[in-house]
Amino acid sequence: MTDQVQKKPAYDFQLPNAEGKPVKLSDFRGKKVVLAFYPADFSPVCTSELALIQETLEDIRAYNAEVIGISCDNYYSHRVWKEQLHLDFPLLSDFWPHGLVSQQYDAFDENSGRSKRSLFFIDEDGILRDSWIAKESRIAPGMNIIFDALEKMKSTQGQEARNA
Amino acid sequence: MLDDITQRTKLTDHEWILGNPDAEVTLLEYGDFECPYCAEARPVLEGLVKDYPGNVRLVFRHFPITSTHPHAEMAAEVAEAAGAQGKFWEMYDMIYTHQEHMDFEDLRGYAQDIGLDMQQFDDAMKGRIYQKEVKKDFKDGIQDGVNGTPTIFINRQRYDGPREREAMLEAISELTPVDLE
Repeated sequence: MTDQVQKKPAYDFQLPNAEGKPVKLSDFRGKKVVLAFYPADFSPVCTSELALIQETLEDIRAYNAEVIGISCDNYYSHRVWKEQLHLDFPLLSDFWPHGLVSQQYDAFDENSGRSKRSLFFIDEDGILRDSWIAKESRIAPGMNIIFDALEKMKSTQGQEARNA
Repeated sequence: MLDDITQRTKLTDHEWILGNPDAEVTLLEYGDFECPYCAEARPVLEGLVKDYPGNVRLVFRHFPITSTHPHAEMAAEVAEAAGAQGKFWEMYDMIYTHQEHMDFEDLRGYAQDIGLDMQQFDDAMKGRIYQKEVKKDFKDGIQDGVNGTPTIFINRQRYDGPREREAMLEAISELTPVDLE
């Protein structure tokens, strides 16, 4: 876990969702955001990872949090895959300029032209609190990573409120 | 620390265990009965228990991914119902080897095939009395850091390598004090 990313505003962006409509990160102000970058729609590990996130979505949302999936696939691909997996959270397309947002998060693999499998945790004020980047692309994050980060943000929030 | 791959939950007295309950090597599997990768892993895991009797045990917990596997949760409850009659592992084999037929009537047929008391089975399924157990396993899986199905822990360390016999034997010798050769 990288300490240097903490308490920095998360890079704001606008990307098309699976329906081709523009979505901004800052649209989610007031909620925690789990940004989940992944290499490719339809690939086995990504399918497993996003299906798992979907399965726990209700529990994630109980933290006043939303999940946003991002890859460099185009939004037509996102649309079909999202339907196939019954995903109920937005998938954004970092297709063009290719991988620009992934690069801003240091989550772009120059060799493959894909996003790196990684998670970024952003608080209600748009501050980047934590991150996780896969050591090996084929290994998906344990779901404990997401819930540990959400718990940590919740307790930090309580701490800050007490100190205010 | 956020990048934790150690199993956090403890094993209880109510686990499904294949092999010697006192074995030094524990393979904990979080599985989904409708997942093809879990079905592929089954003979490898069972083979390790069979070939190293006394040393290796397999513990199974449910982790059904219902959004993509619509039959998985019911199958998990059916396996629990079989377990209540002492036939969990028979049902485990039955479902994993018949994944293409997993409607409730198919699952009920497997219950008959392995000789369950059908009155008791039907009562249990009608009341969905094992739903709670399945959900508890799922929650434990989240805590332990499940990252797909199957997720396997070897003596509490998550094993992300290939689910093949040789690779797993190597991991067992790395992660445990037991030399299986």
